[in-house]
Amino acid sequence: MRTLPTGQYIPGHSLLHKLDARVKILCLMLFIAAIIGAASIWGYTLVLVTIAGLILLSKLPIRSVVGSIRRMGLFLLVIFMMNALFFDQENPLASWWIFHLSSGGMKQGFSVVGNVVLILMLGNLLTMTTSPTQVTTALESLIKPLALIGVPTEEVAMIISVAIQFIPTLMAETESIKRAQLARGARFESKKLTERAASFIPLVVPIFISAIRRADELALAMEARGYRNAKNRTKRKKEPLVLHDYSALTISASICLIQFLLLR
Amino acid sequence: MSKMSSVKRSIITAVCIGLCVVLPMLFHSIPNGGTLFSPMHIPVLLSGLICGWPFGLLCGLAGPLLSSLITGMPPMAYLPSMMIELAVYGLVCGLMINLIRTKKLYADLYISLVVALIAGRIVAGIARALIFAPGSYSMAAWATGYFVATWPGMVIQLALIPTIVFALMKAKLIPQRYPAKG
Amino acid sequence: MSITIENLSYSYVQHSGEKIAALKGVSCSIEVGDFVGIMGPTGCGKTTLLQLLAGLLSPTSGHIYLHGEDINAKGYDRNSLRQTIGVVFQDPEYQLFATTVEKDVAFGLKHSGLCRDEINANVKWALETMGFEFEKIRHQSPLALSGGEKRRVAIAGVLATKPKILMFDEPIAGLDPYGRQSFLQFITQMNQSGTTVIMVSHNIEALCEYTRHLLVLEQGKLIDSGATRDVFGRRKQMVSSAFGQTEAQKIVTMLSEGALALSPAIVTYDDLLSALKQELTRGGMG
Repeated sequence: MRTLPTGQYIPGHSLLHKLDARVKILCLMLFIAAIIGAASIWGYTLVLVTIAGLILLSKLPIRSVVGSIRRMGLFLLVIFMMNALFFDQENPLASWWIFHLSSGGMKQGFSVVGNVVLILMLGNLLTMTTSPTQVTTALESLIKPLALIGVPTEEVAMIISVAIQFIPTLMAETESIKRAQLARGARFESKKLTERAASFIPLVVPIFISAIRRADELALAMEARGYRNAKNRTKRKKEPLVLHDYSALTISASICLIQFLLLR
Repeated sequence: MSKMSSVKRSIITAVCIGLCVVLPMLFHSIPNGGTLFSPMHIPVLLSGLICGWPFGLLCGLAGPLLSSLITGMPPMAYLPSMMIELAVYGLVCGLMINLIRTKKLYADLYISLVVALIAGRIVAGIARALIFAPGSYSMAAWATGYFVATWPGMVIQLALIPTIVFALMKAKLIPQRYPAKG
Repeated sequence: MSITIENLSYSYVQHSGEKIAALKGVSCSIEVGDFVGIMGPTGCGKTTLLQLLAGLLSPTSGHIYLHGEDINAKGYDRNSLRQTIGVVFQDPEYQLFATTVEKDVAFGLKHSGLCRDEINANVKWALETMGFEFEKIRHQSPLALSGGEKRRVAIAGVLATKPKILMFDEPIAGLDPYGRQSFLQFITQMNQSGTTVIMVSHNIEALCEYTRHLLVLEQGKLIDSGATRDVFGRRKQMVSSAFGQTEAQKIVTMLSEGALALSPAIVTYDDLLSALKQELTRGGMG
């Protein structure tokens, strides 16, 4: 029996693990705002101290939080260069062809790269302390306000839960189709682009046919059992927010406010 | 394609979202499967074509998000621009397939796909530029650079998707777009 | 093309980090032209064994020798392996994809090195063997066929390379009795014309009536092997599980509790019927 992969989630019992997932997502948004709003040394210090504190609270090894960022090295370098070399045509420190190195560009390069790194670390903290199911359930709750502008949030929530339930089945099906075609001698190595594209057809067509067939069967079964729309679904019981949830929200909001009001 | 019930379209979209998570895993396990194109684009474009623009839009947003959460692909740094790109794919090809009626299925599909793929890449390129290098004068250059670098993927998608649509119609899983008379 | 398996083991790591040992130290050999059954409870490693034999997986340890050559050795011609061994997995109709039946069946011959005419001849032969009229079926879309037709086209696709070894994973699961019988008769015919047949099945009766040798797997280990009759005879003695007993054997057990003792060597329905006939002629109609 294949189980669902859990992405970056590392189970644990820290305070961060125990926080409600909706609160964590909201706090993440608030922190992202605080990071982008950092306009001075003090601003950045506040943010760094907060993140360090969160890493400690999560009881996760620093290596794992920071690890994935090291792999983004090239990407971060490209971002820096894009800013440093293309920011200011007027007062370049050095020029060559279309590239104009400027101090303004470099400054922005540093700040963008810095922001990206900090935001990524926060994102990692979220995904490492929250299982994918918790995140999706939280998102389903958080998009409810969109119903006011006509978005069918119940339908969306239903579609996402069905999608998650299908994943193990789809994994098994695609594996078995791949096996059968490889056994028949399918090959995917051709150099020419169009041939390469064509070589994926024996893989991709059966996969979609069987997946959509399953979708068809499920939809028929649902309609046969009287399913009209998602509004009549049985609701999952929501866990109420606890003290540490409210504290977390308050603290994040305060940090955000401090960033924007006091440290500009 | 507009004659399917809302339930069927919802579940097909759900399956496409699931495939956004599963297909990248499959392609990475194939010898020489290659990272020549992102397999996640296919279910998104398909759901837009078959189910309509709201479903394509949802698939484009939820697919990469779920995939990143569950398998770590795409890595979080690329997630926002990927969500934007795929959302535009799903939205635009869903809109186009409703607007374009050339009486030839292949033509409808190719036009919708090409417009969607170009629009998506341009919007994603601009979004990346805005996020990562606001104010730099060559935002346009960066946007088009991204677009140009990914054209082999476009060719593959243009080859695969109409084939899949045809196969689904032959298997009677989706209604014929231009039913043969008599 | 005889097959020898030496101490074959296969384990893999799941996403959750758990290590699963699917096969543990399996050794056996299969002679040319044999009809071998593989049986065992779900999860015992049957499908894994088939995949390893077909060269779709690399063993964690151990060797598989085809005609004396190690199929996992460096430089072994994988292409010829694909042509020599044909595998039909469960629900093979799900692998159909091409625009015409002809193209789908010809797919396996793409890298066979045969010329166009030879490929066409093979395709024609394969479809006719599966009971189709070649001219009628060749241009149809495989996806628009009925379930039974799809399955036959999928099998034709595997037959097209004229493999010397045919392997089937649960081929009769989900077929009606008529379909089951025609299928089993068909693979018996293939076997009689010289093809080695390996069949994984849950269906005790089918294994008992058609196979000549049997491999019994449980939790990744080979717990019994040998001539079909002998294996079933031994299975009868395993009191712990009624699993692996044929219907005929179960009837004999029931009858012995009702004071009619029949020979313990009875394995198939034919054995049972002849034994009962003997009893009846002896008992009453002197």
